[in-house]
Amino acid sequence: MSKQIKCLVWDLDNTLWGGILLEDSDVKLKPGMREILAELDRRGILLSIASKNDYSDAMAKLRQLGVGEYFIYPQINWNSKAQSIKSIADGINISIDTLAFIDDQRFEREDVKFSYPEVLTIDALNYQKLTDMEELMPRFITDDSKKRRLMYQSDLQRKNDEGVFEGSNEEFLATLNMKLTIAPVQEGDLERVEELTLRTNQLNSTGFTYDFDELASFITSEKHTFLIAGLDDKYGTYGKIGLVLLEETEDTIEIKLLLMSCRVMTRGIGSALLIHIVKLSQSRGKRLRAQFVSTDRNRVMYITYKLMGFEGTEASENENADNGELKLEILEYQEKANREYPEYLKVIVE
Amino acid sequence: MDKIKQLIMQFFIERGKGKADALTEDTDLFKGGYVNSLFAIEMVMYLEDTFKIKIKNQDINEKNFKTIRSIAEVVQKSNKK
Repeated sequence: MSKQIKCLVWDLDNTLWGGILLEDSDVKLKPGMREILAELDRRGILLSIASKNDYSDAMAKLRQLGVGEYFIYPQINWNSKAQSIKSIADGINISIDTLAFIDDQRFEREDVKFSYPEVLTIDALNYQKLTDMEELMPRFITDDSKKRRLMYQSDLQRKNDEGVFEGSNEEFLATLNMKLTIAPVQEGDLERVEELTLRTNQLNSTGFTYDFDELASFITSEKHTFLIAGLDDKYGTYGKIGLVLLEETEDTIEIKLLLMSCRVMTRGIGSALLIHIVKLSQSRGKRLRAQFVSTDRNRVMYITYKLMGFEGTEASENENADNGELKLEILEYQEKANREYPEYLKVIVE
Repeated sequence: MDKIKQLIMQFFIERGKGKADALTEDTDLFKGGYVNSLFAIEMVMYLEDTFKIKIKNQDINEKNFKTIRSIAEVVQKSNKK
């Protein structure tokens, strides 16, 4: 399967619309463009802009053409497009290799490719084929994917407010009225579950992926506990953002998978889910272990485990695994003390 | 060493935790509410960037991050990047 693109970044002049805005204030969307944008949006592909233009003129034109709402974090300025691409990836907090860039000018595509070879570049000549490209075709279109743009937009609003908030991170979190709902995975969640396992790299403890039937089998399996978490706050919903897969034996619970969407990074969701699992293992009188596969991206998850009282077991303590091979570590929860959910978070267990 | 502790102390003060006045190098950061796991992640990143070090995975645990003194010890024994 080819790499899934999360965000498509558009040039404007001679790409989104025919002509150059500076020369012709009456530019029109290219034929079929409105439908293409609507379709990509419906699939949950985020749309953004890297264009060398005057910001207010270009935004006004986009609104006038009735497509302004589709674009998040538009970069309309005189910076290099490589710089704009980087700002978009950082701004919406997704990995740069999940971006694609469409532009009519070879020079701009080469510029981006030179700085970020992992970005897929597309010649604007081929814009009518976008909706047929495998990279832009998610396997499922879930409720969460249809709402994705809105969720990212409210997220940008949050970030904005967070930036001007005076006080500590925790005080800010306390103003959000966050509600974390933890529930067993249901049949109807499975498409979102698969989407989460495929899309999540940074906040993922093992990176294990399972095919659809395997995921379905965990729901009914006696020895598995399969949980999905949703998060809401005063700005709206983040959707279903976390996943936990536990495998249980007579005396042990093992965490096979713990992941959450990077949109909830810095919300303390990883710790809250771990506290839930700790409580579960304590109530069943079993020891708690966690599988962990280190990648170059998921260190945050590792630190979360370690500072929640998990320690590497002897069999797996080995720092010298730099041979490029993925290494499975087993961490074990070493504490007896009770841990409580953070005060800024209301946790509802269904 | 004092320089290291000072920079770590500064991190807590800058993060606006409000309670930094009462903070000494032996205050239990977890019990005192200065650190939770969320904050700790930022702290690891801050230490690695500020002191240009790489903290080993095995050194990341609650014991080593319990006080400013113990954090400074971790910083001292970590390898330069």
